[in-house]
Amino acid sequence: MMLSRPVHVVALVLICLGGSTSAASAEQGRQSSSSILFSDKEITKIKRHGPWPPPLKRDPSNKVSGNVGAIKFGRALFFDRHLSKNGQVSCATCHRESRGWTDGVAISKAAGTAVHRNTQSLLDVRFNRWFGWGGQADNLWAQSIRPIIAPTEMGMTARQVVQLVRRDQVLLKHYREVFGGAASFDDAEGALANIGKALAAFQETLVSKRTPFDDFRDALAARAWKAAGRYPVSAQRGAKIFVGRGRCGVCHFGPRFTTGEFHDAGVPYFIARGKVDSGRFDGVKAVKQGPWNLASRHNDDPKKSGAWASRQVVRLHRNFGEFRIPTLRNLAKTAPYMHNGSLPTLERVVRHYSEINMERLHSDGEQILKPLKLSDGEISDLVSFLKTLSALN
Amino acid sequence: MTAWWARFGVGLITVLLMPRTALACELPTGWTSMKSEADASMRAALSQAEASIQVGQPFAIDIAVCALGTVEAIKVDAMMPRHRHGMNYTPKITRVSSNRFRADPLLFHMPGLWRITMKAYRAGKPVHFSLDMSVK
Repeated sequence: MMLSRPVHVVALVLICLGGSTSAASAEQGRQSSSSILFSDKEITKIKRHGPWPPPLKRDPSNKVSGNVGAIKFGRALFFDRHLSKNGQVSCATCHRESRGWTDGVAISKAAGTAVHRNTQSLLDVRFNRWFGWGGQADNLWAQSIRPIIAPTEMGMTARQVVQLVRRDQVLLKHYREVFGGAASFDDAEGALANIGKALAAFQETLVSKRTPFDDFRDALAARAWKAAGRYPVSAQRGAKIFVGRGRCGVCHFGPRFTTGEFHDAGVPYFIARGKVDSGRFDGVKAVKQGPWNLASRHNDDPKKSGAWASRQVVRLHRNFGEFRIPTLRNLAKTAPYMHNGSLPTLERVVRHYSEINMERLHSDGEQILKPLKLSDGEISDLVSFLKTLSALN
Repeated sequence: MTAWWARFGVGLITVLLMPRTALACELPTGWTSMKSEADASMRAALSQAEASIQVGQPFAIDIAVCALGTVEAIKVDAMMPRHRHGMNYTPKITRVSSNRFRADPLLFHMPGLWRITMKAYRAGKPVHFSLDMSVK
């Protein structure tokens, strides 16, 4: 359906109003005052948030990426509580499918000790360049190892994990099938890397489903105005703010609604008296020194093609208090929000940006955020839009 | 007095003509010239087309520098002037030939206006160049 711009705008307006052309004509005067007009420029910006899903490529750094046996092994490990020091905590304790692969609490105390960051969703994690709020890993298998050996999380050592797999007949069978009968356990660091790779293979299967926004975006791209008109009017108004004066898409860019990089969102990063979460500042240090980074011997890609990122990333003063921009996909199911889980609802998140305290931002940091001063109606519209970034079931 | 003016005239003509005729190379055709406040004794151009840059994806640029005298080294960086921030990565510079360099990787992590900056060092002193690119 090829229409000139003025015609397609009018057509979209009429369809947005939900009635037949004749009914719409009859109410045109009233409706035109509340209708949405997407300009070609806005449609172009909306189109950049798709299509979904993107192509699924296997991870060259992980020799068992996409391997069916590895996915099965990784799944078994993911739900196994023996992978923790106290035998009570598995990966699934904090990453629950029913909660969008998060845990629904601000700060987890699953292992008895409170960590200081909110649990992130695992949906679409396969598309990341950096992992965790501080980007302390440059690949999914290294990130999968991190909580297992973190003293405040699952609390194991590399040797304890290897012993567990060697002694458990089911896990050992999986390990041998995936990594070969002759796979040695003498190199605990290498064996732990393999276990991380199996966990990564499983997590690569966690890709978010299509959403009402995806249908709307594809309809706009195809100039299918009738289909586009099924998208709620309040969400359309929210989308207009998102790509327009809100400039949310500067950071929440592309089909995943994130650039994957790091920013200071003006959220306090004090975690206790005299203690701060330095975010990306320590993340850069950790990834450069990490024994399982993509420059390490554990990377299965002979070209080490992804290693450039941890080699060339710079540790800057402004990284202090920066955290990775989260995806907005499946957002409605992953409350609470922000790196410390301090905002319980989407409305609170939008209000945070609407009234952002500029004094909380680094003076030498980026000059991107400023108070949007949204009205209550605009906040409601933006929340309506954000909710359409989640699958319906 | 006449001799002074004659000498001055000859000197002026020499200075004006020398940079045009004495540059060691020509900039490649089809490349984009970088802006500089330097005199005509040094020029630079960049290979990368704006349209081929994708937000969040690493890319390399080739830079040709034609100068009167030897360019010992270059430094390349990029920033978003409106946001007052730079890149999160430092490109590695490789000398490809006597007057060509490669910077790899650059990564523009946000859409918007980026400014690529280049310092070319001659006799230990930098000459500044820049080129603005809009990335969507």
